[in-house]
Amino acid sequence: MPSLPLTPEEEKKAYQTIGVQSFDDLIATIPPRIRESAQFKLDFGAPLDDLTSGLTEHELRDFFSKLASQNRTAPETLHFLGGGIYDNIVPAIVNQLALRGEFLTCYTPYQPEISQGTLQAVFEFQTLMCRITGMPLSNASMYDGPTATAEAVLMAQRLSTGSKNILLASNLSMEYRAVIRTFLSGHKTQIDEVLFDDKGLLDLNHLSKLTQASDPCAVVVSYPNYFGSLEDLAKIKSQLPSSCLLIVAVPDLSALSVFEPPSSFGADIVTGEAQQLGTPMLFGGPHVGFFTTRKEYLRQLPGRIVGETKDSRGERCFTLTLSTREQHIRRDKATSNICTNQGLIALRTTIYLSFLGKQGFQKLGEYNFSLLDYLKDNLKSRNIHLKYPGAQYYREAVFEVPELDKKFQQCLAKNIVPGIKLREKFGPAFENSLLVTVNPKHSREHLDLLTEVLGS
Amino acid sequence: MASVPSGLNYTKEHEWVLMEDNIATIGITDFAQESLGDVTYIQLPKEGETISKNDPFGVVESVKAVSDLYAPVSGRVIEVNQPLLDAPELVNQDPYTDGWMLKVEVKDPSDVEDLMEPKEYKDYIEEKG
Amino acid sequence: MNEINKTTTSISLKEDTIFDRSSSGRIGFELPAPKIPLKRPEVFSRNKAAELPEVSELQVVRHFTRLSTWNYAIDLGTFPLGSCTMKYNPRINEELAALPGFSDVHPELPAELCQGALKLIYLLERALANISGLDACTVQPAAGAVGEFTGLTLIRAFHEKHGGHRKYVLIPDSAHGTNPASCILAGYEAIPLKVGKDGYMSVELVEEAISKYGRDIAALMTTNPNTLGVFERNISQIAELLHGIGAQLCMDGANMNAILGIAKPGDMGVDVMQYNLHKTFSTPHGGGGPGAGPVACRAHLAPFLPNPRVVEKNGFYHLEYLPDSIGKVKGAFGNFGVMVRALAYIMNHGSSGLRLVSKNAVINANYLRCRLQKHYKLGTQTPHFHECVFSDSKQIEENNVKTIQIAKALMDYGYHPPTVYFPLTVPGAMLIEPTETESLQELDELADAFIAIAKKIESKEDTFEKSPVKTFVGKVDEVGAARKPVLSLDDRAL
Repeated sequence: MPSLPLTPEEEKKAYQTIGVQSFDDLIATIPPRIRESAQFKLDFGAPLDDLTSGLTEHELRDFFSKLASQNRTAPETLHFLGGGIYDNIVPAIVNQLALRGEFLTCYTPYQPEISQGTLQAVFEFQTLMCRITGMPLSNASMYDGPTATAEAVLMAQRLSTGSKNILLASNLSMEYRAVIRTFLSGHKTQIDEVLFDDKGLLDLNHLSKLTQASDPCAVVVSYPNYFGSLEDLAKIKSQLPSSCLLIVAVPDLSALSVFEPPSSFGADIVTGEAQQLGTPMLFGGPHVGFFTTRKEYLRQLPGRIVGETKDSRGERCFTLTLSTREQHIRRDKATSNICTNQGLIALRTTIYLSFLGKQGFQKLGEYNFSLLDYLKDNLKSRNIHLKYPGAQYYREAVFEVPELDKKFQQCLAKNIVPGIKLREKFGPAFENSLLVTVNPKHSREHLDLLTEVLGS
Repeated sequence: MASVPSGLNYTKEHEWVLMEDNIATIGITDFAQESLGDVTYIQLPKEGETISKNDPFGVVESVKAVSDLYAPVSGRVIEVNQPLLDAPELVNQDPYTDGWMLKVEVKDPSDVEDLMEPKEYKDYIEEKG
Repeated sequence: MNEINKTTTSISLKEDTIFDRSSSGRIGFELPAPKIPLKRPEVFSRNKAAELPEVSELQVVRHFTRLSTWNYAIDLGTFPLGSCTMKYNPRINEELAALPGFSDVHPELPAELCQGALKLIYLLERALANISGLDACTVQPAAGAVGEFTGLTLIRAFHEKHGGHRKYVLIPDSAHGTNPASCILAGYEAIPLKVGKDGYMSVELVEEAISKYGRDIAALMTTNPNTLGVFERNISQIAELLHGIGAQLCMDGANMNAILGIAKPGDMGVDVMQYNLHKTFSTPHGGGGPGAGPVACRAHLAPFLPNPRVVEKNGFYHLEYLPDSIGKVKGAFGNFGVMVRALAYIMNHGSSGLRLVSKNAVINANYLRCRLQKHYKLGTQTPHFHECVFSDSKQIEENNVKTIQIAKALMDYGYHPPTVYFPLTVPGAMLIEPTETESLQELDELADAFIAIAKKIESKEDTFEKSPVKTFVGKVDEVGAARKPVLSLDDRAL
């Protein structure tokens, strides 16, 4: 076990100062019955099935590297997995800068005079989110895309003076829909799902029907959607009554490098996930959700916000502001129970986007778009077609792969994970459907290899 | 010691009311603005809206606290202090004059009968403080 | 006494925003161009490129390095923040979390290709269940507040399956602000319980609440030790009362650092509790996240845990979906990267090491309390554990100096202030939690700073109205920030 600073002598000195004989005196207020049974066992599998003194650093490295080696990663394993979480190339400086002790081991910036580094970095993050999404207001980040979107739904309900009903696009990721439903489960809310049509896009007729039937306060649409295609947000917006907010979830913020942002089509709240911009996949987290919206909704905005102000010397500086919306002041009237943002991940995103820059960001989108375009054509030449050919894609799409299970196994045998099988998520109509995703680590050779194996 | 002018009625939630015929002018007390600290934002109903006695009708926020505003009377809002909404600090400077919040046409002037007289309110806040 | 002064002048450069460093056309990071025809979309294509900075690598490095030098951090000095457990963040954990086999893994990999990751989740959940003395655990919640919500939602699901929805959750008025907020989100009304003058939850008041609300009570949320650092000695009795009406006892585990190996929530009658990995288990605060708020529970609540569950059979780890699950509270499995660090911390310490952590945390807090109690009025006379709370009543009475001024003054002495104005039950509260990773020497220096401030106030030498004066920026105008919010570079609301 790591040694703690208190030496046996210092322990004696401490007891003297405190005026007790031993440690038992300090815990005397715990009922004896509870004190006596307090021991617990730590079982990490034989021979570590009763770990009492702990492992040294060297032994930790051994144990954890064994665990890590059982997980497949690129480049040894070629994968085409996406669906809301994307592999990306992380510049060396992102890790180096984010590991600085002053960023890593600092606290939430409640004391602005000694937290200006974090505060300014978050202000820059907010600015970046606004510029990419085109919305005028951003908070300091949220846990991830799904929870940020759930918070957007809660906000829409707070803003609504009428119905609290919600519509969700059924081609919004299941993760997003599940998290939204759980966050809303405390209050009876009518949540209906809008079907998708034979292009894999939101069925506008069904949207119209449900809007009339349920009078929703908000509709949640995905852009791109789970199948990888871009919805016609203008058409969707035009079908909504003025009392219904359009919440657009952007599970892949990098899409907005080459696609027009939802703000241009009248979106009221734009949330989503920025993990693919400088943060590794990390088996699902920690990632970073973003939350942007219109100016007039400022006082209902959940989470933390950093604002610019001046100090006593008249210099520009930054501070957490409008905290009266938050839990520590409003308690049971808080806009949400969120107590944190994802400070360190937001910082990584800010460093990454600053370094990637205006042109690099566009190139990122262009590369992703072109890789999928190339793959699409390749696979088509081998008779593997898009399930929804009529749509506009970014960097992932659903393909119909004959004998999918067999092909999937053949890929695995060659150290390739060709994509996400959709049967379990979307039902029997997706028996042979595979969501295939490209990422910046892919090269022409990789796409050719996938085509080779799937098309054989 | 927070000031408690005569001629007004007071509520337990630290609002004051000035009744003139059937028009009530409403604001928050000196004690309230002192407890809140620097006020940063005030949310009030619009002209034409109605407020209901004992129900919340708005919000006053400072950096560290936020309070609901409770209607001491029922009636229709006929005027809102716009300069206050633009400069919320007025309520800290002058809670009883420039910091007035809204004027309400009262349905039933006897609404003020169960409110506190200045002396009662003075005792009430002394107990609290 | 020597003048305590940890602050000095040093090189700390001013810096505008990264956008101010831009020069049109400058290229930053280079991605490998795939050797295929490059195209751009034709439909819905972006009209105007997003205005991101255009800077060089060195500019980025300098910018953020400069920013970092304006932050106080655990690596720099003591953080006596009550309720936050600002202990040292071991660097070996950073190294392990960065292993490609943990960081570059996609959660949709078939189970056979990510056995190490699934096993890690399984091992951590089991360890956290054992430490708490409860039966099962989920690591899915992304933070303590989400953990609270998850615990309450488990309770709601349980009641709805076994007899119907209940309306109320009892919460001591000393509780953390997330507690009532989580209640509302989970569909309950929060009923405040007055904490006794001695800081304990009173059995009588719980009995009173039960006779008033009866079986409409779903649960009582407690923190133990409570937010004054005091062990709730009546907790087993209160648990019995609640269980007698079918209500549940949930515990906010924010203060677990006081009782690892010293008391188990399971033995107190707790049914569900949430941990904070970024407090008790040393995962870094990172300026406000990421953290994780795992939830441990008894067997009767386990059927409702969030999906998917990692289960083990014959040494193979795979996913199971519970039919009665409350759903999901986070994408994928939760904050896996945080879990790696927490598990490494637990394995580094072992069960004896964890007990030593709590033991030293309690000794340190009591030592610090004794050094300070002649100069500041204690918030409660009852014995406390890993944190102590003082009020500013002495300083206000004698010299009209408030906690906020004392807190700002501490910064000029080179320290982050303690938690202030919380818990709400102590006027002008200063909640101080040193943690076990501080040496007595560091604690003496911190105490000396507090005492120097108290003495200056007492002798009327300083009221610290202008503090802080030695920090990188002077006193920040928080009122102005709230009155006229400017929330991004393009936001000129003035």
